Amino acid sequence: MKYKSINLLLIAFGMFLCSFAAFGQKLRLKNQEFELKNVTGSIIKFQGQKVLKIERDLKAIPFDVNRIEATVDEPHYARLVGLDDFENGTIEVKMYSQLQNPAPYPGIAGFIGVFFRVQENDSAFESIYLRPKVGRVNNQMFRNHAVQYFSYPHAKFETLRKNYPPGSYEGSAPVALNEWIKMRIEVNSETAEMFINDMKYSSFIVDKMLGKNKKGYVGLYVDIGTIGYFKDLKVTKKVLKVKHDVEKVKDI
Amino acid sequence: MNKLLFILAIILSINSNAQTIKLDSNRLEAVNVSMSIEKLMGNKVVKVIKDSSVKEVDEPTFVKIKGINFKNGTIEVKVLSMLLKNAPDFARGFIGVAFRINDSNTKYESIYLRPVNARVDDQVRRNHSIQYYSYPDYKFDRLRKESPERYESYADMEMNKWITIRIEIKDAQAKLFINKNQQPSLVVNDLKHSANASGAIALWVDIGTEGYFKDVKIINQ
Repeated sequence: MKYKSINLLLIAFGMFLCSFAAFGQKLRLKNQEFELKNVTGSIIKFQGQKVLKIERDLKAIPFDVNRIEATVDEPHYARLVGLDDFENGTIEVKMYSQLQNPAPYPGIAGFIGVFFRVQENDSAFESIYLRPKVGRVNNQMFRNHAVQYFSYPHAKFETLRKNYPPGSYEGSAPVALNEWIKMRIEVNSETAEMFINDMKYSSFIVDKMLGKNKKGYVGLYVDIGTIGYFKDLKVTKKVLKVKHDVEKVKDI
Repeated sequence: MNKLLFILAIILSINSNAQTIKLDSNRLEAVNVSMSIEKLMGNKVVKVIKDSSVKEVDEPTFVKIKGINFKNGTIEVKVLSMLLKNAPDFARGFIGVAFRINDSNTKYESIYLRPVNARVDDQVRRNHSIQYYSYPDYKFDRLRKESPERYESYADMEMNKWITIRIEIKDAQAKLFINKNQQPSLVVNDLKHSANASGAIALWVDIGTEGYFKDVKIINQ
């Protein structure tokens, strides 16, 4: 009898562990709940305020230096729970990127940003993220890679760099490590525009996003080597704005 | 040691020669452009339009400021770009500055803007809002082909509005600051005519631009 109850307990514990792995740890920050997906995290007090701190879990999704594109920009993020149908609207969040020391890999750049239109099973999503480490370096090409768009799973950063004219999905922004950065993304149909630190005009635009998934969850992303802090996430759904066609001249 | 540095700083600040350039026609020389001194929105400005006889782009089409031999320091100027009525469809409001120009106008460095690009929907064009080139061997198309993303960048700016350009030049490096931005919008580390070149400064435009310039300040170091 006793043996049986222990057995049951073990089964129950096993189920609990399974559910833990499948659904991830949940953390509450003010009135928002976040589900950790292949990241480790906690709610801490940081510079006097409660923030969500996350780092990519390299055990959950291993990184391979010989297969960089395949093993970065994966679904390692904190999902905002309860909003599964973000399609058009505004995502605003304050983020702060620190580098892990020692660095797990020399190419780290403080990767931090936002996922949106994330499928329930994480099989597809859109993302805009920053590389704050290169936002103010003296190498202009690196500076021009301070902002990155990608669409999971078919259009990650290297694929985009190879298959489109330089700068199609990357841009510059005056960002840096170890300081709060306010990112606002305006999503409207196929277009996403990003605003940094309350600048009046978007400093980055994706005219035609590449994902087929039109609605889904919103998440907060970090990649290898980043200790990411997030606060004041605001997501506002809006109705589709119809744009007027503008005549375009390419090449110059 | 601190005292020494302080004294050194004073000496340097005395030596550095800040100059506000008066925009008189006898101080200015039009090279392949038409030039006039006008009043625009209550300000005395220089209006510059490229000669239609010059068909190539990124050419010495500028107003040269006489009597300056500039190597290192700061060039600051306010520019305003309008499109001419007959501007071709690829006009972008090209406007900027040329520096370290030799006497015969056959060698110089330049940084210019394409204000039309800054707010368009195409990120590639936005990333081409600012351009460095070096005359005659490294015009925009060669640089773009051989070293993409290295000599171009983005900053927010507008047509028909005054834009402050400040270029800080030291040896082989040039940094461009737009308006009141604290961070440079373009950094070039290998000016093609080497760290030692020096020469004149000019107000530059290209095809389709009706360009206005005012408040030219030069600090020679």
